[in-house]
Amino acid sequence: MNLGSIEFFVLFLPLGWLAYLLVPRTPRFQNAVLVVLSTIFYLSWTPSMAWIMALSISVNFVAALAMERLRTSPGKHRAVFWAAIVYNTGQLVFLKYAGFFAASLMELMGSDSTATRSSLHFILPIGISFWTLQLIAYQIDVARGRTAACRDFLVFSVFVLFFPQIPSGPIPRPHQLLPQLSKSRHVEPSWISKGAAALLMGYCLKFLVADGIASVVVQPAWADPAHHSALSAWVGLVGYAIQIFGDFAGYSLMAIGCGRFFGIELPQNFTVPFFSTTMADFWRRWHITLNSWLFDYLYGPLLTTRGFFRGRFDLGFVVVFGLSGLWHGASWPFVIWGFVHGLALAIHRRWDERLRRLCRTNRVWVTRRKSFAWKCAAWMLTQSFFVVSLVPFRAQNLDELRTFAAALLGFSQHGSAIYPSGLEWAMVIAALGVFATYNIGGTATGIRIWKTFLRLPAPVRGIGYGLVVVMLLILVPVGTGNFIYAQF
Amino acid sequence: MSDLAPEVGSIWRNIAMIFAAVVVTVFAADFLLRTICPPIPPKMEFSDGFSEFVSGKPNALVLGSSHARAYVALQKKVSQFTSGQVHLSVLPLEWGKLSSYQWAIENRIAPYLEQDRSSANPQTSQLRHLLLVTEWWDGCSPDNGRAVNIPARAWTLKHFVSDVIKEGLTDFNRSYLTSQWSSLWRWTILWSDRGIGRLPRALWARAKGAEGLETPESYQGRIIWWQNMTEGAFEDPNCKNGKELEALDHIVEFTKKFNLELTVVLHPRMPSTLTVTAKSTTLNRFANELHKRAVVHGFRIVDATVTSPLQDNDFMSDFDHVTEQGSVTLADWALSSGLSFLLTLAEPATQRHP
Amino acid sequence: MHSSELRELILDWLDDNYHFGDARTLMHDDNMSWLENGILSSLGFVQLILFLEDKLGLVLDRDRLTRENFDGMNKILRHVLGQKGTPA
Repeated sequence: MNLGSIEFFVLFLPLGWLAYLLVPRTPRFQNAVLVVLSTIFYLSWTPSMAWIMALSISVNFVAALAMERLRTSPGKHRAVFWAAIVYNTGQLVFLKYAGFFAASLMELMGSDSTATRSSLHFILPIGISFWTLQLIAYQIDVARGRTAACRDFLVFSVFVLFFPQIPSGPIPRPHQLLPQLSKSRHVEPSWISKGAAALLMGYCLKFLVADGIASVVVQPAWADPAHHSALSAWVGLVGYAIQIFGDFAGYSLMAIGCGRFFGIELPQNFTVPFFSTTMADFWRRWHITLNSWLFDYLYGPLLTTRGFFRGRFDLGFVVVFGLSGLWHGASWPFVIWGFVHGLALAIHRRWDERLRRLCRTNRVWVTRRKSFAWKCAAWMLTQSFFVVSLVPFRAQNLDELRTFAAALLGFSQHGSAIYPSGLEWAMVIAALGVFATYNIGGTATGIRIWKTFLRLPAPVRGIGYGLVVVMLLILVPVGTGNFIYAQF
Repeated sequence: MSDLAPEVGSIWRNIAMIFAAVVVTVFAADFLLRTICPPIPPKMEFSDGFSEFVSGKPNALVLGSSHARAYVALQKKVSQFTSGQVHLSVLPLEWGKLSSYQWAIENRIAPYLEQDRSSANPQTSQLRHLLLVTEWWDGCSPDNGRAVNIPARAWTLKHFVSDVIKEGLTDFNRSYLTSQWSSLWRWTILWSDRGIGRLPRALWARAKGAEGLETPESYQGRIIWWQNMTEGAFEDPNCKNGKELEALDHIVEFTKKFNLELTVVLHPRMPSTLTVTAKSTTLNRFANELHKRAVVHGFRIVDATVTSPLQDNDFMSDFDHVTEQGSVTLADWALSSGLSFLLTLAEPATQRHP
Repeated sequence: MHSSELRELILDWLDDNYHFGDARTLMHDDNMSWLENGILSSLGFVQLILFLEDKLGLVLDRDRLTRENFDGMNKILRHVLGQKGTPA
């Protein structure tokens, strides 16, 4: 069951919400309902792996309490901290990467790795990559005294299990979620209104934009790149950039919307990333909770340590983004994707440093840097790089990566084009319209239009929302619905 | 976008009004859209065929994917030519593969036959034949190893509950719920058309005429897609692993156990979608596998893949399913060639050959 | 070190590295968030931390070094001046 499925909308969410509203408004009752709902939701994904999740919650709960009790004994405190970190990372590495590392090692030694890969291929507990980071952040924050260890097992269970965030995040920090869960929540009508708007926009982004564009232009181009022209391959690639954005930003908005129905605010995960004019800016707007996690718990500490990495900004980018690639998936194309982004950030930082030197000596460069033409060029370069970098991200293996790259460069064998019908193009245009609406919503004009809409009488707004629902029912393709990021 | 300005006044009443307006808008739109594009009557499904099988005392079963629906014309012809003495039951299992047919046989058909034949007055004593309608695609195992469509088409509540207890709610068993939910809304166009796409086409046709629904390029592009897909299947590991063919062995076991004759019908494909390469590779490999088994187990094969008189225009716009007229042509051809024995299943045989 | 001296040091650094003479104009409120107002990016904060540590010869307290505790002039001044070993 995912946030877009029928049983979620028809049964799970209305009944769960009703139960939440009916229980006494105390943290204990409200959290108990959320634990039950989240457990049902979790069991609907990977029930055989539920014990791993239960064990993780218990171990991390106890470890944090122990750390707090042992604050006066630094040695023991450190030992418990590292044990918790090793437990969390070890679990993720073993379940997600053991097969990949072992198979890569065997391939390096020239042996057949198929048997190794399949014997070390485990069913992953849903969302393990996300909640592992959440738990590591919790342990670090408790160890450093930034957050008090949670003393209520029910609160801690909701912190980890809260169902909208489980499959694909956002990855909330302890200080963002724990205080909300420790208090009773009054479900304000304005929250329901905000939640419904986020849910509807998320649903449109996922099912109209991502799935609509995927079925018309992305899947045909990627299914058989060796037979497609360069133009078709480029259309398929740009389409994929929009698809993956719609898929993940859509999911994040749906999760945030669901959270609001229960009076809980999850952190934002996207802020119009296609407006970015540098890659650093892009990563501050795309998958914000992951990238800020990587920055705060990995890059920042690494760069400011007294050791080897101190001040080695560029090497830090390459290492951290390489790990980010690996986090996204246990395959070489993902690792390559990560390294490419690390390198791009390093190159941009060097370029920016040089530019800042020029700015220091001559203010003309300051003016140039702020000019419209400069920003357009920077935007073009940033977005083009992001789109091209998706080739290794989408490729299943190195062969597919090579074939698609060849198609982009016009080296495909037959060079036929994707031929959507007029109707299919109309559906793509509708999808792009929703995509544009989301982006305009991030501008001052968009916010003004939205506020004007909110001032309209309730029935008129209802008709507006109803027409969006009708559009979704007409245009959303059936048979899709899996979220790309749920597999990470 | 999601940061709404706080609402003022009686917000709960506003929310109720918004919700009511949404519901009214959706149903009003559905009412209007039904005048442009009325919902199509439900297609024949496995459960319909199974009910008919249970009540109809058939002489032969026709089991296959959605392609099996084309054999309703055959059912009618046989009934007509034998004055109703020979009756076929058609069991179309949408998106079925050989393993899906095996599942349907082992979990629906065989238990019924066992129960019926042990009763004092068996209803299936005249059942003599199984016609298995298949094609190369049925020999390709699905990625996840489980035929995706059984829950929606052939499961009962009992199967759903036991699978959820065992596996949790999965994409696989969810399709049972989805199909049950959808069946409640068959009377609406907005819901019943989901995944079919008649409504957008009708809206487009009303706005722009038929132009743009299909351009010569998009038509040709789709033909090439089919050709590439069929050719590409030869190297697809899911199509070469032979897993689905193991299901055929189980189906043969079933026919032996219940003393049924088996005929495997290789269903016709749209001529333009097949290249010479596809015929000599993907299609040939599947046919050869069937022939090898036919020699061992002694079942009959009727290969209509390219030998039937069907032309491109006998196929629907999906290039996959045979039109109503094409089904009649196919039935006439089949009864005058490989499936003529169906007319002799009743004893004494009625001699009104087409 | 006095608060106003540290403030000037930071403003000079901002001018030298990011705002080229505009830092004092942009910094109309010492309580404003630098991240939210585009004064400094997260990468810029790392550079600032390294600069302050090298310049003042101290190690800033990592435990309290969070976005919330370091995002803005007053917060930085509080964090650095409250630190053991800050030159008087």
